[in-house]
Parts: sequence; C-alpha cells; structure tokens
Amino acid sequence: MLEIRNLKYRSRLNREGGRSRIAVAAAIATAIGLVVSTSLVNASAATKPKALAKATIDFYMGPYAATTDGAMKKIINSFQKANPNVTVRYQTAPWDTYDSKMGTAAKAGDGPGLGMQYTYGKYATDGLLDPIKNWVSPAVMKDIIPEFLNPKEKWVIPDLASVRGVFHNTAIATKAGVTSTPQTFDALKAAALKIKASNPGITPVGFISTGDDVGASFSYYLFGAGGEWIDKEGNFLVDSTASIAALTFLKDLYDNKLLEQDVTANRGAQEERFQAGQTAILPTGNFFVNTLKTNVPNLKYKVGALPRQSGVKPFGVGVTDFFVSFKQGSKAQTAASTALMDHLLKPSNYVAWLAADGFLPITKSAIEPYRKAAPDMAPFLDNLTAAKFYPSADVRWAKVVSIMSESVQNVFLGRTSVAEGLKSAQKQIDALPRA
Amino acid sequence: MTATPMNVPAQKKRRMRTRQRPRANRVAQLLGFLVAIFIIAPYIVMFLVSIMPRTEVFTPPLHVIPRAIDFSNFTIPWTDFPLPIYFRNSLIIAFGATVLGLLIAIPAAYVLARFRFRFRTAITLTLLMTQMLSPAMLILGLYQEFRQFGLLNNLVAVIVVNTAFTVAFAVLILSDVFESIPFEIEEAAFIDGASRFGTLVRIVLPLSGPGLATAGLFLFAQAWNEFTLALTVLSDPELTPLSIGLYQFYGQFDKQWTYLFATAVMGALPVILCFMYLERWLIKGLTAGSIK
Amino acid sequence: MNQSLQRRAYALWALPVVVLVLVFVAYPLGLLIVSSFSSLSFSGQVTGWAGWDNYQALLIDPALPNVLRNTAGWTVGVVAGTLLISIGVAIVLNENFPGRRVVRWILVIPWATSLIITSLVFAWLFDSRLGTINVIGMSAGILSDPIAFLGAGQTAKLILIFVGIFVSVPFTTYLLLSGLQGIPAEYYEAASIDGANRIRRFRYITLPLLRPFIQLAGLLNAIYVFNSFPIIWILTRGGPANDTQTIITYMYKMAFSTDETGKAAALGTGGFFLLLLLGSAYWITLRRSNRITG
Repeated sequence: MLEIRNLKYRSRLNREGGRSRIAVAAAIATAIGLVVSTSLVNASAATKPKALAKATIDFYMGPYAATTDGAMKKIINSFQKANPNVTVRYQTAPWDTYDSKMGTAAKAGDGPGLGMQYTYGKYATDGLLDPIKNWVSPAVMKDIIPEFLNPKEKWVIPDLASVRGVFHNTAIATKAGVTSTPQTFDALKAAALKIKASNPGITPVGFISTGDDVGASFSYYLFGAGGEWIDKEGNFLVDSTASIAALTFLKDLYDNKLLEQDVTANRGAQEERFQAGQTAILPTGNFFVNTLKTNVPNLKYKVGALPRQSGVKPFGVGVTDFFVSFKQGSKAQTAASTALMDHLLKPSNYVAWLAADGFLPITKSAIEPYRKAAPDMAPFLDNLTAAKFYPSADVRWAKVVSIMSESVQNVFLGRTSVAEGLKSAQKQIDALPRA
Repeated sequence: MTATPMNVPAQKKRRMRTRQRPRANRVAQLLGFLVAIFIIAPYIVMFLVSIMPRTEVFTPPLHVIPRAIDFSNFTIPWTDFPLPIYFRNSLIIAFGATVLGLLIAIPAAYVLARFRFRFRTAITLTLLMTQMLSPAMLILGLYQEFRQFGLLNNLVAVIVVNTAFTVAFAVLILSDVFESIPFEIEEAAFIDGASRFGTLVRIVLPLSGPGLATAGLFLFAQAWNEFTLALTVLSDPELTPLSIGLYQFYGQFDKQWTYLFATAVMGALPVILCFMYLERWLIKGLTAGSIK
Repeated sequence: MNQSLQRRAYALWALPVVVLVLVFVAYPLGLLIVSSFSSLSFSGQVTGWAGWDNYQALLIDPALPNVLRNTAGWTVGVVAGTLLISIGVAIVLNENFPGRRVVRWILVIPWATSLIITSLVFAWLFDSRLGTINVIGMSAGILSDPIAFLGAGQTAKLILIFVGIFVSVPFTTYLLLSGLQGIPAEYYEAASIDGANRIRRFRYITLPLLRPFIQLAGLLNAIYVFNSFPIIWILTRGGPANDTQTIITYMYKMAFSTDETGKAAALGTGGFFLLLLLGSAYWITLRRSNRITG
C-alpha cells in the first residue's frame, strides 16, 4: 500500500511540476516524518506498535460458542487493518477434529503462529512449540492473573477460563422440597432422593461417563473427596482412598437410579436434558448460562458450589485452555504472532469476545470491563482464582481419561467392582509412557 | 399409473419383456407402502424439527409435532452463516469429480470390457482394493502428500482425490455395461471404417445411458457428501464445502439441531432430486450385463 | 497391422485410472504401512524404525479381542440383514401396483443422503431420554421409563446394526431389482404351468438366477460396512466401554483421541490386509463356483 501512495504522490508532483517545490516538500515531509516517528517510538507498545514486516501466519481457535467465529473474524479484521503487511489465516474445526487438524498441519511443518490448544503436551515434547519467552510480550505476561501463571511453565499461557458450578432446576427442586443447593455428598444424595420421589421420570443428578468430559466430571467428585490426580512425583493416582471414595459414592447414586443411567450420554446430550427439564442437577461450566439464555430463556435455575465430603475445604474446578505458538520459520512470523496475541488480549477485544461466548478472562485488565459487560457471570468471576485444575496438558491425559471412562462405565454397568475397576485402571495408567 | 415399467423404452440390449400383469398386486402395494413409510419416517422427524422454533426444541413437555412453525431455520443459515459459499464449493467439487471420473472411467472400462490382456485381472483387483480404503484411513499420508506437491487449499486437488477413491466403482459398473453391448454393432462400424474411439463415442456411449447415469450419480453423491478429506486439506473458509459446514452446527459447543436439520434438508435435496430423476435408469444401469 | 501392439496401445486407455489410483491411494497406503513399522513421537512424527513393536502393543491391548469380535458381528449382522430384507423389498418392488414409482423414489432417500446426516437423525431418534422414540413411547403410555437404547451394550449393537441395514437396503434393493428384472417371465409361466407354487418358483428360479447379484451385493456391502465409520462414531463412539468399537472406530480413536498413532497405524494396516484377504478369498471362490455351476 505504501508504494501505491508514493506513486500517486509522485504523479501529482509531476503534474504540478517544479523541482524546487518538490525539494522543499520533501524536506518538510522528512522533518515531519522524523518527529512523528520518534514520538511513535517513545509511545508504549500497546498503543502504536511499529509496522510489522511482511508475514503470513495461521491462527487457530476452537468453536467455544456460536458467537466465537464472528468474534474472531472481527478481531482479525481489525488486526489486519492495523497491520496491512500481515496476513492472518483463520482456522477452526469442530472439537472432534480440532486437535487432529492442528496436529496434521503441525506434523507437516504448518503449525500455527498462534493457536488455542488444550492438549499441547505432546507438541512440546516433540519440540514443535516456541517457548513463551520468545513470543509472548512482556506486557501480556504482566497482565495475566498470577494464579494462572505457573512460573515453571515454558510453553503456554492460558487463553480463557471456565469455572464449573452445579446447575439446579429450581422448579423441580421446589416441588421436591429441596430448598438449598446441596453442599455435601450426603446432602446431594438426600436431595436426589427427594427429587426422585416427587419426579419419578426425571434424572436427579447428571454425570458424564463418556468422552473427554469424564476428566472434568470425575474431578468434581475426586476433589470433593479431597483427592488429587497426580502425586508429588508426577504419577497419576487413580486408586487412592479419595478416588475410591468418590467412585463408591457415584456407584451408590447410580445403583439407586439417582445418577444418569445412560453411560453413553455425553455432555452435550446431558445439557440438553437439563434444558428440557429431564435432568434436575448438572455440574457444568459457566458457559452454560449463555446456552440457557438462548435456548430456554424461561427456565428457572440456580447455580451452587460443587458438593464435597465433610472435612474437605470448599473448592472450585476451573478449566483453562491454552495459547501456543508453533516454531515459525521466520522472525517476522513470530513478531506477527506476538502482535496478534497483544491485539487479541486487549480488553476491548478480549472482553467483547468472552462476554458473548460466556467464558471468563485470564487477564487482570479485563476483569472489571468484563464484570460490566456480563453481569450474569459475576458469581463465577469471584470464584475464578480459587479454582483447582486437572492436568489436561500432561501427555498421558487423553489416554488417562479414556481409561477412566471405561473403568467408570464398567463399574456402573456392574461388570466390575469399584476397587477392581480402579486397580486395573491404575495398572494401565502406570504403563503409559511419560514425556 | 400404468403397469408397464415405463423406464424400459431405450433398452435394446436384450429382448424386451413387458411385465404386463392383468391386475395390480394389492399385497405388494401394502407392503410397498409400509416399506416407504418406514424409510421416510426418520426424515420426516428431521423435517419436523427443522421447522420448530429454536427455543421450542427443549421446552417441556417433550414433543414431536411442532407447536409453532419457524421457517427462519431455513433462512438464517443463508444470512448468518456462509451457506452460499458451502453450496458453491460442494457443487464445484461434486461436478468436477463426476466429470473427471467419467472421463477417465469410460476409456478404462471400455478397454477392460473389450480386450483380454495380461493386466486385466490385476487392474480389476486393484480397483476393487481401492474400494476397501477410504480417505479417512489414509488421511495423514494424504495430507503429507498434498503438502509435498503444494496442493493444499486447492479444490482441484480435492476433486482429483475424490475421483481417485470413487472411480473404481464407475469403472466396474461401466465395464459391465459395455460388455453387455453386443460387439457386432461395433464390428459393423469398423467395417465402415470407424476407429475404436469413434465407435466408443458414437455407438457404445449412447447405448449406455443408464450405466452412465448410475456411475455419474455415484460419483456425484460420494463427492457431495465427502467429509474427511475436505476437512483436512481445505482450511480456507472460502473453500469449505457443505459437508463440513453442516458439521459445524453439530460439532460446536451446543448443538444447533434446528439449523443442522434445516441445512441437512437443503443439502440433501440436490442429490435426492438427481437420484429421483434418474431413478428409472438406476436399475438398468446397475447390472446391464450379467455378473461374471 | 500389428494386433498385439495395437492392443497394448489401447491398454493405455486404462492408464489414467491406474496412475490416479497409484498416486492418491497407493502412496498414502504405503505411508500408513511404513508408519505401522515406525516408532512415532507423541505428536506422530516418525522417529525411527520400530519393527513389530506397534503390532505387539496392539496384540496385547485388552480391547482388541472385543474390537475384532464387534467388527465381525457388525459386518455379518448388517450384510445378512440387508440381503434378507433387500430380497424381500426387491420382490415387492418388482410387482406392479399403483404408487410403485413413489415407493421407489422414497427408497432412494437414505442412499442419496449423506451418511452423517442419517446418523444424526437416528441419534436424535434414539436418544435415551429426549429421543423421539422415547417421547412417543412415553406419551402413548407404552413406556413407563425411557429406554436407554444406546447406553447398554446389547441394545446399542442391535440399534447400530439396524441403522447399518437401513442405509444399505436401498442400494442392495436396486441391485437385486435389476437382477429380478432380468429374469424372463416365461420361466415363471412355464413353472406355474408345471404346477409349481410361489415358493417353489422362488426357490428354483428366482434364487439361482439372482445368486450372482446376491453375491456381488454381499461383497460390496461387506466392504463398505467393514470400513463404515460415521454410524458408530456418531451414535455411540464405540461405547459403552468398547462394546461397539470396530476396527475402524478404534483406529480413529487411537490416532486422534488418545495419541497412540503407532498402534493406530498397525491396526489400520492389519485391518486392510484382513479385508483384502477375506475379500479376495470370497471373490475367488465366487468365480470358481460360478464357473462350475455356470
């Protein structure tokens, strides 16, 4: 674009003629240019970055909500307008195929300059990722909420967060005589029994035994029983006392028909059942608030904390995905990635995106604007920093979830006991190769 | 409704048999209608959901018949989502694969039908083998190959690969069809000085209408619905075909069933209409000759 | 003119097909086979030669026997069911009755519709709580509790086979219908003059003449069903607990869900050669028996 402008300028000069006039004009232009550019350099990086060199990068974002696509396109357009030398190729895919799409591209050397990724461990192990010190700007690093920043973390920064809460159908609860959201395991079972008695056809408590969400699902009760996924040496611990307690509790609920009986119903299906009033209590993420508003605006519900065993401290479960950058071929591409990251996390862009999608921000600068933009999410926002996370970035996590899913299903279907099921899961998990 | 199968007029391959029965078979009629109802029922349910307003789908009590009708499910995908682009790309890919497939299948089928040469069995078996593979199985290798040859984000490359995986079927069908055309007709033309190519184009092809229709339909339908390959090698949003666009309604966070089914109805219509139009030729096309 | 040279020149007409297939099918297949013998990093990069390691890991996988059994049951169930039903439907459609054309049109719909769409429709119908079948059953009073069709192993398998048959019947019916239309009416007339009733006519005229078509339909169906992915993936994901996992869904799961790409390649290669073996054996026995009985 600069060339075109110069050409126009030159042709106008030629028409108006006069070499000396050109010389004076050029001198003045240069002087102004110098003044302006020095003041530009002095300005902070966030308000007027220096022009980027020509580059093309791929940018991946997952389909968090129906509004994600539009929000991303808006952000990319504004970025490209401000940085005409940079071309950003926006990529997305349904969750099912998101990782394989990025993986296939990465394996062939086409990894994105900036991308959202939830399972980055394997790419890091294989040396495909660029460490964050190379591409995340200092301004962004300082802006990230400290609780989300692990000082030992080399490869990623979080992109957004969701906090889990337990959604209760108010109408069903009232009819059953359940007045407050259950805070303990015992209270949960009592509430479920009351609900089953007064609403026989309904599933009292939803639980996801299939797919990727088993990790989150089981985490609620594992943490609720005071347990952890990984011990201090980095071993996965699935047949710990807490784990057995959690699964025993769940199995008890299942046998009494208080828990979702269909072990192949995934999170989407169970969220639909909650919307249809067929499931009374469902733990899921804060993004569900937006879904409910869009699909069943007349449904009355309450959000409560995750129940726990007596003696366990209150906790939250949070999930973040991550931003990664694959090693790019040139400095210009890395610089473009950095600039895009800056642009994306600017509160005006970031908050607009997250408020529409129903997710929580991970930067300090975004918190207050977000609170104003999405007042429904206020209670979740307050719990953001107290949340515990499950080890989704570990290279073994995908397989661990798969093994746990089979064990849980086998236990529920009565094919094995809780102790046996977890023991065999532990054996399989111990055999997994580590990073 | 006449009793004669009206789809038989052009059949010169074998003696015409009019199956003129004196009276309609009522038992068959009943059974036929039952079959039809059974087959169409699921799709009717799909259609009913597609005309429901979005907020009604999960509002209790659970129901099948819509309480209110909302046709915006059919229009919103066109205005709020890039459906025109999806349709355009699918049309390009499907037509391309059909034309290319027929262009290369016809000569190959002719040669397999008329000549007995050494590699005949090998080629037939190889073709059969390709039917045992699908792009989903080979996706990693395909992506690497595409990248090596600079074919990513290239609709032509997708057309060619679609053809590669479906042309076997076309060749097998067409070689059967060609084989059932009596060689004497061609021989007569040779005597008059026509070349092989000439007889292929001017004699064999016109007699193979049903076979060509069948083969063409298969190629079209397969390419129209192809998913895995397009998903992996077409990342440019301008090049997304309908099969992927549709999946985005489903794969997202909350499945948008009404848009999904409405788009599915619209997306299936072209292929279904083609099939229905050419249905009378399908039977003759599938097995014009005897199966060896 | 040199006949054999001319003949060889015409063989070139088959060249585009062969080249196309070699480049876009054989080459990626080669890559798959090579991957199965390579050691692959977590993200799937080739890091060296692994010999039979991936195959060994596959053979000790506790899910493998289940996967193989399921694949066999799924394939046999769908093919057998499809053939049985298609013969019946083809016979019905071979008769004349008003509205026959409409029935034949409707039969085309599952065939022409994308497999993914059909699978989604059945997912909607059979959902264990919100599914149409449950809704109708409950509101009509037939069911007191919703049935978890896809949540229990046995019913899930039956439903999947049902859907597999549903989408395979149209193509097979048309194939068999063409065969039926090729049977001269005179045969039936002669037979009924000789006193043969419907059943005998069917057994001694229809079936034998239809046999080549049935065999071809069986083979083609078996190949498609063996590799069929969307139906199982969308309806059950191979669950519950690998009860409905087949070779191709398990391969996909290992390659894309649990990052076991080496094992996935081994399973894919193994599955392909298994199918090749069975398919070739079937084809060869077909040709031999057809030649004997003529």
